[in-house]
Amino acid sequence: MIREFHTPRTVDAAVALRTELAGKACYLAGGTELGSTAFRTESPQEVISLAQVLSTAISADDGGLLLGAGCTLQTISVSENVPKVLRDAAKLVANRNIRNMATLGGNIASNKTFASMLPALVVFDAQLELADAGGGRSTVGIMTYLGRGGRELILAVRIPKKPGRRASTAKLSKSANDIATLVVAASYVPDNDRVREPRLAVEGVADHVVQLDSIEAWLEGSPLPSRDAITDRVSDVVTPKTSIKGSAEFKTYLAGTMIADALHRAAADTRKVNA
Amino acid sequence: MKIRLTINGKARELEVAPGESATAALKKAGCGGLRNGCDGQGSCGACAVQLDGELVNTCILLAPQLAGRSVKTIDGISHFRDVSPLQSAFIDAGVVQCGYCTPSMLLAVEPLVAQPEAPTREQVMDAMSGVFCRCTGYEQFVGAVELARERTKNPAAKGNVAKVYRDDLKFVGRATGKVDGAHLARAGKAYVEDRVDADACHIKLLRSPYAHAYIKSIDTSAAEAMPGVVMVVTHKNCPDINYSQAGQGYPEPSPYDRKMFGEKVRHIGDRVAAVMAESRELAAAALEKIVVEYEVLEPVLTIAEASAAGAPRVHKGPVDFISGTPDDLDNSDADPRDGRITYLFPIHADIRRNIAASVSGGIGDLDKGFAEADVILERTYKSSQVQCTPLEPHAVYTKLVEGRLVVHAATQVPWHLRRMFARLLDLPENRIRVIKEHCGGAFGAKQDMVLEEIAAFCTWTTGRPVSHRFTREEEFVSSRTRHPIEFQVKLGAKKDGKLTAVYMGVKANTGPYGQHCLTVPMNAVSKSLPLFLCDNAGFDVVTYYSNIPPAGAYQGYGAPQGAFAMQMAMAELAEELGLGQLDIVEMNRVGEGSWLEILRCLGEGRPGKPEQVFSCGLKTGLALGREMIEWDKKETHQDPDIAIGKGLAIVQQGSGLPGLDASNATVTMFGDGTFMLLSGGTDLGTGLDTVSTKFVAETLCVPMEAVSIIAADTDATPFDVGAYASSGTYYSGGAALNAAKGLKNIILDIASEMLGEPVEHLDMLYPGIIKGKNKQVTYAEIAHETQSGVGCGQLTFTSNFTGEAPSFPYGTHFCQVAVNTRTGNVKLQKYYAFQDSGTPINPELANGQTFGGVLKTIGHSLFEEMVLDDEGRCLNPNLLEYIVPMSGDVPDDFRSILVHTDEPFGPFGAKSISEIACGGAAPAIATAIHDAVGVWIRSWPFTPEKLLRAMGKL
Repeated sequence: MIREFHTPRTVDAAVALRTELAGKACYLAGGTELGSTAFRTESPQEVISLAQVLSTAISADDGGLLLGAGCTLQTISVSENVPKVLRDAAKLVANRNIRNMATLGGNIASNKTFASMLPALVVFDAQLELADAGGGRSTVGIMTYLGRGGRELILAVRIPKKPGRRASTAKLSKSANDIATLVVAASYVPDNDRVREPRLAVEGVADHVVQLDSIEAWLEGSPLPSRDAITDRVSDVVTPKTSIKGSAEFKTYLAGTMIADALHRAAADTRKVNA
Repeated sequence: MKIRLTINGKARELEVAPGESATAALKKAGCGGLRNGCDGQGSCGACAVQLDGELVNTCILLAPQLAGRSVKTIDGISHFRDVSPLQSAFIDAGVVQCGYCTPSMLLAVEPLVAQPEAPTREQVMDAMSGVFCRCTGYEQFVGAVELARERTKNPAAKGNVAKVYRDDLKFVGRATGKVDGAHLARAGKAYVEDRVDADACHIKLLRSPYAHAYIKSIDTSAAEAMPGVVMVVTHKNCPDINYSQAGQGYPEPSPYDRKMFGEKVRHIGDRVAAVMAESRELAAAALEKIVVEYEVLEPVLTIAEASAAGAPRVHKGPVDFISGTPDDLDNSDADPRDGRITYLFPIHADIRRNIAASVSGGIGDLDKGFAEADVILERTYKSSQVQCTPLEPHAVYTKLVEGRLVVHAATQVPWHLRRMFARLLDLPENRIRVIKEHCGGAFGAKQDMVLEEIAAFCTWTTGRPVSHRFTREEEFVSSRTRHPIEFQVKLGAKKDGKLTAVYMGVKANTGPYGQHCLTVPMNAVSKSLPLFLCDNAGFDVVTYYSNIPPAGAYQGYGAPQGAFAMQMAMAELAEELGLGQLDIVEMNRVGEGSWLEILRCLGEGRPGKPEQVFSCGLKTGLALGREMIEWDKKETHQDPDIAIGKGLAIVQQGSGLPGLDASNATVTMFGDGTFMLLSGGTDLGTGLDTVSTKFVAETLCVPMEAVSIIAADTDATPFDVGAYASSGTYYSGGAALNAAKGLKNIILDIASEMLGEPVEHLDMLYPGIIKGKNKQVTYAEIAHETQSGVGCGQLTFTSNFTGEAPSFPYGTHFCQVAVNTRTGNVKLQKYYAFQDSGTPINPELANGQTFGGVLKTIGHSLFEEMVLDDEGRCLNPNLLEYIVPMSGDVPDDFRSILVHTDEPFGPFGAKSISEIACGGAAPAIATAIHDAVGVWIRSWPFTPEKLLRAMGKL
């Protein structure tokens, strides 16, 4: 049962509170996870509201795009400044009410299968600006953060500029609002007929988002392989489990097919999405 | 802690707890319209408000998150008693059905009304994407927003919400708005939860963790000792009376095969004990104190398991009969722990083989028919277990008023409830009052008594008021679901496609108890076989007991499953013969004037007889559909991975149960010449009260506003069987019409005396005038005359409606799908439902029911399914994982076209609407999938995985 509700006014105050209340408190952004009986995994005694702490700004500079961690998915889905693929990714959460509440930072920090933005952020090499427990600031790649089970407060997400990058994201779900069976994203930079800096990510084949490093290494510097070839490769490296969303065999097939389609869809999209 | 915020433009300061939900805090602050359909998942949106202009779910917000924010609730949409242009547009467009989601929907689309540019359809759908509506199918909200935008500029704007079907009449056949629309659009108190008094006790149920077990011992002493616990009910102290929960007319065809609490539990979630306590939390805590020892038995979950030789028996109790006791009745091996089963008449059950009911029949000579066939096709089809998911879960509030039991119920069958309470509590019916409150959706689930009797027993025993409301999980595991059915269809046909023989074998799974165990599976036959004319037809129906969650009534009542099997088989036959699906349907279908001989052996609750079809819109529907969907044109997609296909289905339902159903109504004149209609009819949000009001206003030539209605209150209104079998417009409406006609004759007689002219010289004119050749008199004058000291007394007339004509409604459904051949995903591009319901009385609401019925069954077809594990545990007992259709699932081009026919036996030519809409989606989509990718998907739901397997990709 929640007994205290804290509303710090600064990032440092929020981080200090979290440190002080270690084990008892958790951050609260939009609240779509902590507040929901379906998704709540923690039962904190105290919550630290980030309402007055997190930026909701979206800005662009020479370094790329900067999205405040407090941006809601709805804001991102309609922002002209945001690349279409990221807008599409935000809208993969089809429930408008949830998009109005859920924040970018919360979506990343939850790192659950319903975090539909993650694959797209991964393939855009998203960098996270963090506030750590000691009061310092740092920037890390999104997969590094997720890989170490990041507990630091996410302040912003930077999408680095990558001229020529092409990208695509897609989901398969049983219905519009269903939590996706699978979300995939793919990007690369075309270099004449070669694939450079490929990025592939899948949500739904494990408990958390998975980046397909080995497939990326296979693709690097090659002409874009056929869809069948990509499908076969991806199917070899993913190990989903059977659930009510489908069998392991189905998810494996789907991961390969959807990644292959996403890559080829990106190739067909001549817009330079992040130039 | 204190928070400051703005609510509907006014600064407020609220005292809230840190962990309190925003819903609770806003309710305490007096905000109306905040409902609960998902128990805090955030998946239904029934609790939504605008927070700084954006729609959010308050159930997943903590109250302190509201600090410093601006909240807009439904109370901020309307001003005093006025409705806003948006609310009036909602009412006129027909999107206010049950009303439970209406406040959220209003708040969802309100910003679109004010924005400068006209919103696209996609924007309207997106705005609603977080709010679950099971009634309307979402489509008409687009028109409602458009109308609201017009009305903000021109308050008199009428829009184009529905076609006029009877331009010779004032109200019937044209959109008028719903009589309770404004009340619901303002979120007025209407539902059971709105009637619960502050001093009410609450009930929580202890449910079985096992699918099949005996209760060896149960110790409730610790729970009973807790302060605030009023009583605990178990099999030891509940009434020792076996009964059926089915809300059917007496004598019910459903067996009396359960007690309020049994010594044996038969499904996970079955009742073990009830705690009545002074708060919900206390009742829940007391459940933890109850100690139960079970003797766990092997469960049977599927039809195959239940029918296997030596299968565990779900029921082993002694059997008796009220009538038709068989000579060989043998109870020698009965186990009294299983409880007694009483059959009111034989339904051909055999509990030793887990058979709950069975029936067989046929016409002609099947063997001869198949021998004459050039082609014989035999296929099997399966439907899955799907849940009704009314947005408002089951709820009841019981209390004693001056020594009488008063029950506020969200029910389809108030009089059946009263009858069942009387038997269970050993009370005469005059000591019981059942008031049907507005239902937040029902769809068949509320035809049965699934919690009401426990509350009634607790109140009658303790004398204290009791509220009981299911959680969403309870709704899944212990309410009602569509029977899973396995069909064997065998067709014989000549090379030209003419049927020579039709056989349908039906095996249904009723779960632990037999409510509707005979009639639902039988309806799967009686609503699907008669669609095709064949001299040789037969069927076998067997329903099995098992240990899955209970099945029962669900809008369509077996017909959607039967339609799927029969229409699919016809489509497969067409392929086998190299014919078109539409052509083989046309060749064999029923039409006006047809005699349905098969109904000779498909009587429901009484012997069957052949019936003639007097009105049938199939010909028109098929012709319109062929043209509108460009049936003969093969579509292609620019993406080579996408295959497009078209499919269709024809469907049939009934208009109540001839010879069984009965409705009554009373119309009374008031002192100013206005009227009160007392109707037994049970409006579930479908517009029945509006239908009945229209019939009276039309007949008595007065504005609809001059007719008020009180309905479905067993004290205040006359008897009605209730709302099921699509009987509302036909029977309950018919009773109102007959009452109005009776009163009209009386009014004319009185006017004749007053005017001194013969009745033949009098005309009844709008608005409430009787005009003779020389003089005229108003209703107000007639009322004054009759109600004065020398008058004949207040004018009133009571009448009933019973019928012998089945008045079948018909439907023709076409759809176009786009199948992603890589992922197996099915996208509905077009869905056109051509619905023949005779004269559409409320066309805008008839369209809404059609859209709603179709979208429900689109859900059943594509994704809805209760998934059980090997022990019978439902793995997805919530809206989020079960998955229900939301606005994002609406077909891109979704149309309801009402095919106007004139049914000679229906009131103003009407037939039923509602259930008929549920039959077409599964076969239309499945045949379209086949047209697209060449595979037959013969079981629900048509998931991407199933398609990929059928296409050989897995």
